[in-house]
Order: sequence, then structure tokens, then C-alpha cells
Amino acid sequence: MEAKLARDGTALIVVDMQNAYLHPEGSFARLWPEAANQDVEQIEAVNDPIAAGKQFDLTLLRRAVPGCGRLIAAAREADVPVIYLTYVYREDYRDGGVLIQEINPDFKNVGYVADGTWDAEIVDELKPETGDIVVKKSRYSGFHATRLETVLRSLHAETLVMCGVTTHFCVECTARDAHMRDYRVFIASDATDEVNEVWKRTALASFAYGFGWVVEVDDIARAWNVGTSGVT
Amino acid sequence: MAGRLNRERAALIVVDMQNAYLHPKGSFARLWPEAASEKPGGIDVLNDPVAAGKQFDLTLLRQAIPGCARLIDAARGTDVPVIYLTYVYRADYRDGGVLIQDINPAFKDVGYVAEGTWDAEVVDELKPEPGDIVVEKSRYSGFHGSRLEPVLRSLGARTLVMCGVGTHHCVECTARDAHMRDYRVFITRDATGEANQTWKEASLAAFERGFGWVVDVADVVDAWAA
Repeated sequence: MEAKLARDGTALIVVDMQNAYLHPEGSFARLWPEAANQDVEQIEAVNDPIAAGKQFDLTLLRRAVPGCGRLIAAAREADVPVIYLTYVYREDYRDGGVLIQEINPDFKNVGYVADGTWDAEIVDELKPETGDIVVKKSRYSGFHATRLETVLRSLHAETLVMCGVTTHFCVECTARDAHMRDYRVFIASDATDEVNEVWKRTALASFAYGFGWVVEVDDIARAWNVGTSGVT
Repeated sequence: MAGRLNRERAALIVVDMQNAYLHPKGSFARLWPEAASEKPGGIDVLNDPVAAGKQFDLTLLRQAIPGCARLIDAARGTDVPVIYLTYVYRADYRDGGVLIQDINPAFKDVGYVAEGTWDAEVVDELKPEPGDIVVEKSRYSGFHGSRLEPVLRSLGARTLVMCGVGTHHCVECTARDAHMRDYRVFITRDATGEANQTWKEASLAAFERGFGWVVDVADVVDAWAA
């Protein structure tokens, strides 16, 4: 298992580290202001899955930023391609489908990830650099109607290391699709997060059971034979 | 929302209700014999995700059978198309990919869902009838490399009611893919099962938040009868 986690034939996929989800003035924080300022310790202490399934704490998502920063730095040092996924919609949301039209119509009122706006941009801490690849998507999975697979094949990538937000939604949708396409998928547990602890833990537990491998940033840096001290 | 749940342009999708997962002599029970008699609650699934990942209680999966049967009856009685998904591999597993080759090689030793064998068949309680549609797949999602989407488009289906096993694996993979293709997806809580209760509850809670709707069998039966 450890041996599969090499730098050759590997790509790093950074999922949806955008202002919409992570910035205190992003569209999620504006839509759910009460969710943007909760007590993390209190949230972490709730263990009832029904109650926790209703939890929604955006501050938990920000925990993924430092881990993503370390992974991106490690990938650049090891010449592992860095692929950013970003979630975008047209400003008129005519590409919004069932999610915007029926499940969460409120998203339209806050300019949620409108293409070309600040809300859809990657957070300042993790800005893409020249040579990185950015793939836009309009559904949870990075594989759905995007050029991701074309990019991965051209890079000859067979192993994917994944990080970003949110664990149970876009990260897992993309990771499941990658698994079903027979990539070896490693999720970095300390570089991904979710709006509640139980969703994150169950996503990672079941992922490790039948979809791929769950590792930590340090495991990856070791396998790539680089340090992760440059960025913290 | 409940108004969407009617039989117009609806289809029922029954996921992986096969001997492999549900029968006491199926390949899963043979691979994990202790799981066939395991009592729920023996592991603190919330505080120990590693243990939870290993917990595997087949009796929880079997709880989905009566609900699936009621849904299938209701669908046939109201002319809602019934689509069975079944998980199959070639007997030589050359189509097994990463799951068989790297993650669970032991599946090969028990003839796991080998195409054409008893293990891959739908359980006796829920046998397909003439007019039902069976779609085979070799990955978790019913949309991956299968003929499901041509079938759904030909039926004109826009709303999918889903049941079967396991909630967090094949049901959810298929439901997520359906959602991303802009079907309205309803998962029936009492006609789906997962190998541990935490995965099931977390899956349904998150599904309701951002993928579709979670309902009971009775809601579906009533809506289709109206």
C-alpha cells in the first residue's frame, strides 16, 4: 500500500479551496452567517450521528488550508503536477440544474461561485502558480463534464493524492469517480475537511474500506521524498 | 418537494439486492463469516473510525428486503418502471480494476458476483419479472460504463426512487451520479441498508443536505397511488 504512494505517475488534486466556502465573507458565510462563527471544540465534541448530521460549521472547513498548503508545496518540490478543481456556475445559473433550481435556490441570491467573481476564486493562501492546472466544474465531481480526465491521461497519472473541501461532497464525489476509473486514490485526512465531524469521519472510514487509501500529509511528503517545512 | 414525488416520469431503481450481499451463503458471508451473526452496537463506530471501517453486519443489509419488496409491488401496480442494478464481474476478474487488484483481492477467492453464477443473482424474495429491466454494472455506480442512462432517457424518467444496498456505497454512488445528471433523486430510508448504522445515517443526512431527498416507503407508495 505504502509502495503505491510514489511520486511517479502521481498527480495532486486540490478540491474547491475557494472563497465561497472558506472566506468569512464568502457566499456560504453570507448564506449561513450563524454557521461561520461556531465553537470548533463544541462541534468536535458532539458524537450523536443524527444531531451531528444536522451540524453545519464553516469554520471546520478552514482547518484544511494549512495541510493543502503543505501538500501543494511538496508537490511543486517533487515535480508532481498540481491540479486545482474549482466549482463555478454561470452568473445567470442556467447551468445550475437540480441543485440550484430545486434543492438550494438560495445559492443564486448570494452569487454563489459565479464564474469570474471573487467568490469563485481560490483563497489567497493557496493561489495557483504558473505551471499548475486549474479545471473548472459545475457539479460535485471533478470528472463530471470536465477536462479532468483528458488532463490526467496526458500526464500519465495513475495515482491521485487528494485534498480540499468538502470531504463528503466534492472531495468524495471526485474520489469515488476516480476510483471507478481505476486510479489509485489517496485522500490526505489532515488536508480535507467537512462541515461536521461525523460526515468527515464516516466518509474517510468507508473510503478506506472500499475505495482507496486514507493517509496524512507527512506520509505523502515522505513518499515523495520531500520536506513539508517550507509552508505551514 | 413532496409534490415532485409522483409517478409521472418516475422510475424505481433497486440496487444490488443480490445473494452476494444478502444471503447467508453469499460471497460476503463466506468472506466474513463472523459478520453474518454480528450484533449491531458492538463497536463504537463514532469514536473509532478504523474499527467502524471494519465493522460489517450483514443482518443490517437484510433489513432492506421487505421495503424493497413493497416498493417493487407498488411500482408494478402503478406502471412505474422497475430497474434492477446488479453488480457483476467476469469469472476471471480481468475487469476488476483497482478494487479487485489492489484493495480487496480476497473477493476473487469467493467467486464474488461472478457473472452468471448464483452469487450474482437477485435474491429469491425480489426476483425480476417480465417487463422489469436489469442493468449490469462492474463498478459501484449504476451509471459507470453501463446502459442505465440510455434506459432512463428512453423511459423519459426525470425522478428516480432508489432502494437497495449498501446505502453508502452502490446506492449513494448511483444516487450521486443521478443527481449530477439532474435527475430528482429520492432515497427510501426503510428500503436501504448499510453494513453499519453510522454510515447509513451519515450518508442519508448528507444526501438530504445537498443531493436529493430522503423519504419512507409509505411516502412513495402514497404518492404513486394518488
